[in-house]
Formats: sequence, C-alpha cells, structure tokens
Amino acid sequence: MSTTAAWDLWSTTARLVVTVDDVLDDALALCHEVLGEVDRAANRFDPGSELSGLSGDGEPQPVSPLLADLVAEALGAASVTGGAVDPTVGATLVDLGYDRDITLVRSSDDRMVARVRQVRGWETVHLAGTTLTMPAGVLLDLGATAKASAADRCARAVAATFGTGVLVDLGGDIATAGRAPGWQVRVQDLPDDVPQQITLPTGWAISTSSTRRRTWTTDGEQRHHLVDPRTSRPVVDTWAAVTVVARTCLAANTASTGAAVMARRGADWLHRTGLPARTLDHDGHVAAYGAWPSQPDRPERAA
Amino acid sequence: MNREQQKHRIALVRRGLVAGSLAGSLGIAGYLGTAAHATDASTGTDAGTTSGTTSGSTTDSTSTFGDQYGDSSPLDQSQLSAGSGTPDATTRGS
Repeated sequence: MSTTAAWDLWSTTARLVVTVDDVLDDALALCHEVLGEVDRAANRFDPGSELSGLSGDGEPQPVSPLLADLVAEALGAASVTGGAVDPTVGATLVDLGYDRDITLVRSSDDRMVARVRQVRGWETVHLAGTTLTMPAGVLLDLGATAKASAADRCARAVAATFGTGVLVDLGGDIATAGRAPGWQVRVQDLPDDVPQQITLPTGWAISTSSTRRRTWTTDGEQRHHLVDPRTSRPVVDTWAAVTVVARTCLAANTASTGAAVMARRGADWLHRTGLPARTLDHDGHVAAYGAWPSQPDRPERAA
Repeated sequence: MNREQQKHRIALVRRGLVAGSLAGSLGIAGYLGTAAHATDASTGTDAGTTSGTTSGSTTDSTSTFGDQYGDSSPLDQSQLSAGSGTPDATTRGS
C-alpha cells in the first residue's frame, strides 16, 4: 500500500508517494522545506533568488553552500557530457524568449528576437569553495540539473527521516529511496504517445528529457528549451524524448538531457554510459539501450 | 588533498553517499549539502561543505560518466523489468 500527495511546482506537477501512510503529511512538509531552499537558491525566474542576484562581472563572489552545491552539480553535468548540458545557456535562453516561467512566456507568444547571445561555455565558470567567478554577461540556468537534484534530496530526506519507502516525482524527474518492492513508472512524454510501463527498483531514479513539452514561439518559430551550446539555438534533428534510469535523478537527467542535446551522436554516448535508456523518435519509433526492458507489441528498433 | 582524493570525494557526493549516510544527525542541511560538518562515509574524513565546493576542480577536464556519478551498470534486466498495474508516477519531459 502507498499514499500520494500531488501539488503544483515550477510550472509542472510534483508527486510524493510513501509506503508508510501516516507519515505523508510530515514527509510532504519536509519536501516543501527542501524544495523551498532549492528554489530560493537557484530559481532564475525569481528576481529575489540568490542565483538572480549573482554578478556576471568577472569578479569572485561568495555564494551559499547550497548554491555552490547546485553549481558544482551543473558543472559536473557539463563535464561528463562534454559540454552538452551547459549551465551558461541562461543568457541565450533569455534572448530566445524563455525569460520567465514557461506559462508566462506562452501567454505572450510570438515576440520578436532582436539578437541571441552566444553560449559562453561552462569552462568559463569557476567555483572554488563557495566562491564563484563568472565572466561578464554569463547567466546561469541550473534548470537541467537542479530539479533532478531536488528530487534526489527530497527522496533521501524522506526515507532517512521517516523510514519509509518513497518516490518523489518533480515533473517527470523521479527519485526513489527507502524500502519498497519496486515502483511502477509509466514512460509517456505526451498524452498521445504509446506508453510503456516499467518496474523501477527502489533506490534508482528515472528522468525524461523532451523537445516537445517546454516550448514557446518567437519570430513565428517554435522553440524549445534544450539549447545546443555549439550553435546557441534549440537543438535540431534530435529525438522527441529520451528517458534514462540511473542511481540518482541528477545522473539520469544529465544523461537524458545530454543525449538529447547531442542529438544523433548521443546514441553512441548513451551506449557508452551503460545506463538503461529509451529514445523516442518523432515518428513514434522506440529504441532501447542497456538493460532497458523491451516493449511488447510495438515497433522497436535496435539501438 | 591530492587530485585523486578530490575526485573520489566528488564521486562520493555525486552518489549521495555523504549526505545520504548522515541523515539522522544532520537534518535538512544534510540533504541540502549545507551541513557545516559531515563525515565521508567511506573514509571517515571530514567532508563538510565540500559537497559543492571542491567541484570547481572538475572544470579543468572532462570526466567520464562513471567518474562523476559512480557505477550505474549493475542494474540488469532482471531488476529493471516491464511493469504492470497502477502506475505510481509518470516520467515525461518538463
């Protein structure tokens, strides 16, 4: 048996599932506390967040231990993906029109784009202790990693504090912890996609990156939030969605986002990670990687 | 601390071993990576806030997935299997 709470978070839906029913309210409160701290540190859409207050002036500046942690995770994701998951895409995203919460961006669709700043590159950012140095003009976007990391942090906190099996789902970034027989997770990016359901062992995580959900229109052109740092434009000719299973949601999201940004060359990279993964083409074809379970009764290509 | 020790410490943190092992004593700070003092789960050394603060050293080279996040390969198809029944959650892009 399990019990569930759901709430709106960061323009998506969050869910908390626990196997010990009577801890749900307290576990939910703990999740809100963890998520609130992450939000205050790293929400680039909140002008009052610590991230929004950073100066990109080339001078060393002190940051909180939590923001340092989140920046370190973002730099680690950049390193392991060869720069595909780059936290310095912030200014480029702003210029492309993604400068507010996605629901607000969509409400003012089809603005004009005057210029698009080039992605400066993650290697221009230096973190030493809790001292951060960024060159002029750099705006960090930690969205690719901070949400996944927040799911990990919530799951660990709830399991250890309340001794329960727990699943934390932050808009499709799913982390699990504690004792549970396994979790039933549906993989379905859009409602019209053919779903696949898997049993995720407890202690593992799963994440999906998509080019079809966080979209908006500027200059009459549909954009999405996965920017190719090499072109400073939304990545093209890539999968509709990439799903990865890993030990942590941070690792799973790094791999799914990295592969999606690498586009077709991401297939070899996914293989090399050894992670179970699934790619979905725009025509509905699915490919499986590593230990990803086969999906019966649907066309499937060997990856 | 030499470079190899730094990489080891970073890898431990990435795998959640540091913060995750200290849940009882650190409270929320342990999960946020903001605890003033934490003990490295494998070495017994003081890890403290290094969960986020030594990682700047990763900016000078590109690491492999295993270096960064630890070994994820033991999961095989006997553990990750097709599911059935009511889903607990749905993974989608967001």
